[in-house]
Amino acid sequence: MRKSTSVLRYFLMLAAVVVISVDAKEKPKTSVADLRYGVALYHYYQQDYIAALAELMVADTRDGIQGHGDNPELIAGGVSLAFGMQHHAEAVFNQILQDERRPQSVRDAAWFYLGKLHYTRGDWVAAEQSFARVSSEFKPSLRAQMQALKINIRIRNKNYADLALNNIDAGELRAWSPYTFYNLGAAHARDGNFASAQKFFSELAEIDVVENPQRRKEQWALQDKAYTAIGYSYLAEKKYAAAIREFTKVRLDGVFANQALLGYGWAAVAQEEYDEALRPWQLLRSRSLMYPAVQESLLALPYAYEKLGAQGEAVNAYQAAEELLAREIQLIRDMRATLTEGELLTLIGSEPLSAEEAKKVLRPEAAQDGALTAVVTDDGQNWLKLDSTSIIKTRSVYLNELFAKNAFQTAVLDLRDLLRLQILLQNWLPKLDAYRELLLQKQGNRERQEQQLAQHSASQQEQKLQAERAAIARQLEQISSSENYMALADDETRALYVRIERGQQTIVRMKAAGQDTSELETRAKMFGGILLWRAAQEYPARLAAQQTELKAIDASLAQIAKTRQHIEEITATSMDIQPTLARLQVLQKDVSMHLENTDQLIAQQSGLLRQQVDRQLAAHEKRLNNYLAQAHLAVARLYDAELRRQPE
Amino acid sequence: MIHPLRQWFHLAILIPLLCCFQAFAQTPTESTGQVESLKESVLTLNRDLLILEEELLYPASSQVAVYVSMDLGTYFALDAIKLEIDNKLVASELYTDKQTKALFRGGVQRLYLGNLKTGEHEISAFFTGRGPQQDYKRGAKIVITKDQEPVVLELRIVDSSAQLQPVFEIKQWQM
Repeated sequence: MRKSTSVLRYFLMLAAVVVISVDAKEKPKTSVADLRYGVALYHYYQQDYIAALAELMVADTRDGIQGHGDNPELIAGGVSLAFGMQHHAEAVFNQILQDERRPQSVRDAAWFYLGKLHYTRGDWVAAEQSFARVSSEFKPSLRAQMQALKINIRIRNKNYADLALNNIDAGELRAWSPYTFYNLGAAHARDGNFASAQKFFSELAEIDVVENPQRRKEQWALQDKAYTAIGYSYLAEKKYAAAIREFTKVRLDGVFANQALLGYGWAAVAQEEYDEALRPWQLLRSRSLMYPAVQESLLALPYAYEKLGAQGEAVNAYQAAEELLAREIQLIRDMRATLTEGELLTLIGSEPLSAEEAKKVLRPEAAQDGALTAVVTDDGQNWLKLDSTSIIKTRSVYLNELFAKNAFQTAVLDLRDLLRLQILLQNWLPKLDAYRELLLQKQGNRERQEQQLAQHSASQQEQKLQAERAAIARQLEQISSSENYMALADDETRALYVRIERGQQTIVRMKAAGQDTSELETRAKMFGGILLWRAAQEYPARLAAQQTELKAIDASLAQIAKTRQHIEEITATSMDIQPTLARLQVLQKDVSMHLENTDQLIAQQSGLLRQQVDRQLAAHEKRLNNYLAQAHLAVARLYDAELRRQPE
Repeated sequence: MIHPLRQWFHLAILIPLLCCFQAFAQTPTESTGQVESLKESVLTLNRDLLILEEELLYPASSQVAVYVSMDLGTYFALDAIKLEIDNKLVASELYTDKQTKALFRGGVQRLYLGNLKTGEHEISAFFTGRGPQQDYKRGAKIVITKDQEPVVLELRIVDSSAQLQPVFEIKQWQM
């Protein structure tokens, strides 16, 4: 029997097929044209769908993935499906199909997956239309799956009457043929056409068992299910011997053995062979009471004793049943009390186990040791998948039926994905705080540096230049007003003029001492005049040079002022940091808002899940209470009969 | 006498037995729509955050990224990689089965993302693992010159069909 029949699991298989069809598993890649495409695949192959999608989305925002043709789009569609984003996947496939130039193989794949999307939503017409667009060149293994789905649509539409074994091409259906035969057989049986049902079930039972150990196990289970179903259909037709014949074909260690044993007993009872009924029912009684067929045998066995006239054994068996059923009911009540929303969240949010690890954890011996009896697996489908003994606190069978339902699987997957989103958002919050701190620190450092620059360098230079300018301006003003030619004369002229002035002072002293200085005076006057004449000649050019220097200082001061203003502007706005900080702030708000939404949805989904689990357990409790009431009545009836038989 | 439970039981057994293997349809619920919508917007937000993070922590002018790929990988079962830049360990990875399978199927791992100053740098990678005949511990080295463009390197584990053994090399991608 297949382990899971849920639609979402089916989707993930589909997504895996998308990837496999693009990058065949058996033939590893030989080149990578774009590393980001490879990184997306790396995450996808590890079922890390968020990381895979993030890689593709970041690549898309930049320059896209180059060199892999249509593959990245198909991968994006496949990963979106794997992450339960059906609408997004649909948009991707539709986009691929809008381009008529795409290769036929890509178009076929897109039509096929689009058809499956419609199929899972129950839009049969759209699904059939999409499947009809797939060409005959499409990959045979996927084509086989599509044929199986098309037959399912016909079953759903009650349009399968003309589908007979001789007009179904089992070869075309490939590995899907056993499931198709079973579905057709079950459809006929549901409609009461047991003869037609038996033909399909028998065909299934006769299919050669494959060599692959895993597939072989599945096929055996499927055949067991077929034999059991044929048996019950014979039972419905009152063909009891034929029913017993089919029930005996079911393997005693298979998951359908309990139903077959119970059916065997009822077929024997129907033929009034009560001794014959005791054998399977006694065997059934020795099995775990968790299974409904075993619970049923608690009442069936004393019923057979009664029919055999063994009233004492019957009373004992009914009383034992009362005790066992009461204990079982209490266990279910305990489960209902302990299986809270919190426990479900812990289970679903726990680290997924591989199929092998899950098998170890869920083995019956482990359950008796008090080990966890429900796990989340990550064997490629990422579904909450539980085997027949795997539900919480060893009472798993009660929840198996519920866990196999689409609604439950969907709710579990939604919740698991929400928990992953919650972790993702929670992880961003401290990082964003740290990045904000980093930016603020960077901004602070920059401001300090700018201030230091302004204070120590530009400011000092400005002050020095301003002092220099003031001195020159003052000097020029004095020179200009007093026409002091010598002030602007060259060094040599000024030095000579100083010596002439010193000579004139000496002449004054000599004259006072009564010496004759007339010649010296004449010569000094002449030399002084020459020097003044030389200085006067150069004065205009030197004055202009000084004024030019003053203008240069003014220009430098203006440049310094401009630089200072620019620095002040940068300090005020922090050109690149401020926009990043603003962007960060917006993202921080978004993260908090999304986290709040996620928390709310988690609370809502876990509540729904808890309700489903509780309803299922309540139904089991009700059924066991019904058995218990039957047992009470039977005991009372037998005692009453015994009393009536006794002489007064 | 027909036991009253019998008819009930037949129905109870038949109903699950006669269910189809492939579930027919999943009726979209309001909450499923809400969850999908939230997924889309969180993924978009996550993309924006990743872009911001990269711009902030690993600007293109100083960025260095090192990837790991495996071409076939039939001669080598990867156990670990150590990555050094200028003789300083910057990344190391012990590979799980899941990771090596993902590499074998064509996935590429981003082993390291960091920053480098402009100038010349020596990048070394050390691979340990098992081959069909022997264990391997090999190294590969490359000297790169970092300028204003990001540096992208790929550590490649390639099967050499001529030598029937793995070859380890470092490829620098031109950006």
